[in-house]
Amino acid sequence: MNLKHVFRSWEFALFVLLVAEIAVLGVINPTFLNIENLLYSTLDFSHILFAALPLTMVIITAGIDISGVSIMGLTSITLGLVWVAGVNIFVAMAIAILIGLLAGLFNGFFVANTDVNPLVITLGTLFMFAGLAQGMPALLDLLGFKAYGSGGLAAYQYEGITGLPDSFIHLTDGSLWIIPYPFIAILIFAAILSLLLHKTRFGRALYLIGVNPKATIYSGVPIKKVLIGAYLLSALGAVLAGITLTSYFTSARADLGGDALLPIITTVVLGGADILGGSGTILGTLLAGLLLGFLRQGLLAIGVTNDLIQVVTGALLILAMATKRLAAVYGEFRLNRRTLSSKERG
Amino acid sequence: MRKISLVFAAALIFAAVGTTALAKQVKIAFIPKLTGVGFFESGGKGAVEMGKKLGIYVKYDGPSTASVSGQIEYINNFVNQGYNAIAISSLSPDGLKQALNRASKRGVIILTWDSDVNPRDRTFYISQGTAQQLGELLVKMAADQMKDPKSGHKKVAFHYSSPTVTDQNQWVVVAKKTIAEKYPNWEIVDTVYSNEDAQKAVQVPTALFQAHPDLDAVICPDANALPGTAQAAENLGIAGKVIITGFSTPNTMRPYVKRGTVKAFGLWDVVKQGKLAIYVANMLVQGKKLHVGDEFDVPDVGHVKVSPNSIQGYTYQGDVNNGIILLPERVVFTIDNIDNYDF
Amino acid sequence: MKRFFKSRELLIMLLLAVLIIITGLFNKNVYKFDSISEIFNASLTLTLISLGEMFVILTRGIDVSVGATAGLAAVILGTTLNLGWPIGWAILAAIITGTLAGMVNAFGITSMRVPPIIMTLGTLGIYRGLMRIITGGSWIENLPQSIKEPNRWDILHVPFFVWMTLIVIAITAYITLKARPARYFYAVGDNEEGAYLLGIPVKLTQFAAYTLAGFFAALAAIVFTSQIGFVSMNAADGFELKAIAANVLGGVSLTGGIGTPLGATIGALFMTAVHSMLIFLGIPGIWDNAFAGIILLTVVYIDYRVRTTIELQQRQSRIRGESGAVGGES
Repeated sequence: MNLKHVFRSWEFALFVLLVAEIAVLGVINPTFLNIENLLYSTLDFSHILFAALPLTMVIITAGIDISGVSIMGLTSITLGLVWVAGVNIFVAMAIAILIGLLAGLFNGFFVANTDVNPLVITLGTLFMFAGLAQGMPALLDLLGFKAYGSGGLAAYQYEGITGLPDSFIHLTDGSLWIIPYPFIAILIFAAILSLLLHKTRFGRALYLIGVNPKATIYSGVPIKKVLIGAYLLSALGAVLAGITLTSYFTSARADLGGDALLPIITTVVLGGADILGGSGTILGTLLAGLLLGFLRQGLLAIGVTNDLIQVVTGALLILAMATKRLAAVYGEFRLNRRTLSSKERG
Repeated sequence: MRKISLVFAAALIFAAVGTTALAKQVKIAFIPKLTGVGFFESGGKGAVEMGKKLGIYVKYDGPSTASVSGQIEYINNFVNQGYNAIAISSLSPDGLKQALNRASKRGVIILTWDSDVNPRDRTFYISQGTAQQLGELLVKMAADQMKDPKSGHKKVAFHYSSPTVTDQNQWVVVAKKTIAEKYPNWEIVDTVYSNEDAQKAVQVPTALFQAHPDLDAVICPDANALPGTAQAAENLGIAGKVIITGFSTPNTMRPYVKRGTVKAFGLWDVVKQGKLAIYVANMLVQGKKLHVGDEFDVPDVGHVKVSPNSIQGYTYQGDVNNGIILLPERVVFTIDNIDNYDF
Repeated sequence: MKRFFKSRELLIMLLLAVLIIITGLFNKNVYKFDSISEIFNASLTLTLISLGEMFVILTRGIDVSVGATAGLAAVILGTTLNLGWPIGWAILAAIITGTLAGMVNAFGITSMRVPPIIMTLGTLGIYRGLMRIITGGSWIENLPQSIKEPNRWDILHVPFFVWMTLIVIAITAYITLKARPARYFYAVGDNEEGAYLLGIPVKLTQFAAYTLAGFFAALAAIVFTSQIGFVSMNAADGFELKAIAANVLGGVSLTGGIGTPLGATIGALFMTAVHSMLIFLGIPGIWDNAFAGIILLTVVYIDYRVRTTIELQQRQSRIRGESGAVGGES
């Protein structure tokens, strides 16, 4: 690959920023550089990465899926309720994954078969899935299922379902050497998605839909199937995030992940995906997620208050993108000047 | 360029000096459910004040939205920074387990205040009262304002933040049970939620009052829901005709109490709760061993006693440094006493 | 006339009417004048924010900082009032704050070339953080009674703020439909390069759109503070998404160039009314979110079906007889 091309890429810029950020924060507070703590802290934002990675693919199609945060809660509470009913935890997990994917299928089907804006559709399902997750224990209670908790099944809404088996908790508790399992899973997930996006017809179709949906129809791409696939993958990311959170929080709750929406979208757009479709990479999203995640952790570590972290993160987001845009403008300007001067000479 | 690097170097030195100076001091973190809410800010104020009094460093900070993952971030970070103790108002009884266990393993002392976790995962819970006490208080405040609570058909509704928030739901469950036992003539017409959204906290009770024009009382154990409901009643011109009660802070409710829209509402002195939490945390950091039944005096707070976990309905009981410390009192605010409180 | 029936605004209005009528079958109290008027009253904050957002969306942009801008303006309003400023000056300060916040977005997007979503995600964090830094994290309480007074005024039993918002809507509608510079918003959103070639000041138009979004957010903040009487730190949290959804629901296209103030208003009204209707229906609060989602999805689906059916009919009639169809379309 052309090295010059690599150095000029947005992903490379993000990588440099990431290294610089860790270095600066590490100089200010050397304890931040403790590699074990650093890796452990990825657990605090792994759910954001899980959801953001496949969301990149939806955004590439000029779509958006904001219902993922509700799918996290839906997955979590389903997993808990099925387990409470006496089913093996990993079977319960499979059922929860299935429910989450059905939610994604619903999104994808609605988006592929109507011309309604995906933002509105997934806003509707954001409410609907959250409502289903919240109401599920009460509904089961109403239907006369046996109550297990102190206050009946309905109490699971606000107490969460706890006492999950160690084998399940170990999914986030455990680590390979000092790398937590979820972080390894994220890297594998990112690699698979990256291959899917950049090396398959499906991936190319995603870009094509984002750039020119009309041309895509004429080119014979099964546009509906591709779109459904993208929303299914996005739901899968949310499902994995929901399972990670359930294990990490050692309890199944309907409201897990509810506050992750803006960080997830921020991650994808900082990663270089254009909200109007047609551009974006998995690597970019991964790097942006690490950049934002470590920034937050690092600022917390040097004792910056939460209010200020919001301000700093917002300002850096704008600065990074402004630099990117202005650099592009300057590059163009220089290119023009060079062409002009070479013409003069010639 | 040189100027910038100079400033930067100065900042580094400052930061380094700051951290080493603090390293020898006792450091205690006081974490709320979320920042930016009067109730928690006041608790934080109390905690920091007690820290100054004891000559230790107390840090008050936490997530800006009520989220379990946000709280975990803070726990992990305070642990990494070498804090000696953490006092937290937990958003979920078990959600923090993994983070708290990691903290304990590293020798950090864990306390809870306001909202508890599983008793295995902490030393003491600085409690404002049991769910039983607070749930009954909600019903009592409503009943006391009725001329004849035991007779006639009464319609009541509940309004609080959301069906997933732990403590408010626990109180309401007790309150509903109390109503069923003591006041079978009360009908609970609806339970509505406003998700900590101030605008919804006015809209929701407005629709509630209009949908049930003969409503007798609305019980609102939430900091947004209580002023929102009072505001809705004033907007509709039914202030004083309907009983509005619940839990919120005196500063928020003062105007509504003065105008007679809200005649009585409850809470506990959260400033004292913050002070008590830090006082106990510091005792434990100094190596003190506390057993169930021990009693001691706390400056500014009063006489407190270590109670067993069973008063909150738990079966687990560790033999040392494990239990519940109750605040001496809960307060019902009325027009007569509200001016004595500022939080 | 046919065009009007085809319009998204009318359809959503009809669906809203249907929702209210159905609710009334279960709870007669909905039919009272006060109940309807209170739904209007409750939707004002969202309506004003949505109107501002509309200008941005018309230019093919997006602004997710409007909720935070409203929150920041509310904090300035509350803080200055508690410092003892006269109410007029405090309101002016809030409006200036909102407008400036909008101008910051506008500057970043037009001059620094930051994509709108990034710029406004960034300022969303900055404005929310600033709110807490200004207040030290506490709610603003004990506001003077003067700020709550306007909320009690009514003219012909309709609250003052409803009249105020209606007037704002009317002015906005008149300007966007009749005034020539306001048509620039549509031109820029429809075809930016085309607009540029026509000599329309594209950057200036975009700048104006984000500034207006900030200005309207400040208006919303004033109504919000007056109606609620205190400013919490999560004031108007999440309103950005609701405002965007209200616009889309009301027929404002996210791809720019299409939409009317009336549409944005009705969309906002619908988004608000759903929650009140569920309470009138007596549906337990726990199902609030689920039903709100289902109703929203049903509405957009019905709208989609109606639109495609009409389009299909038109195409068929065009095939059958040229002359009739041409006449019918205009």
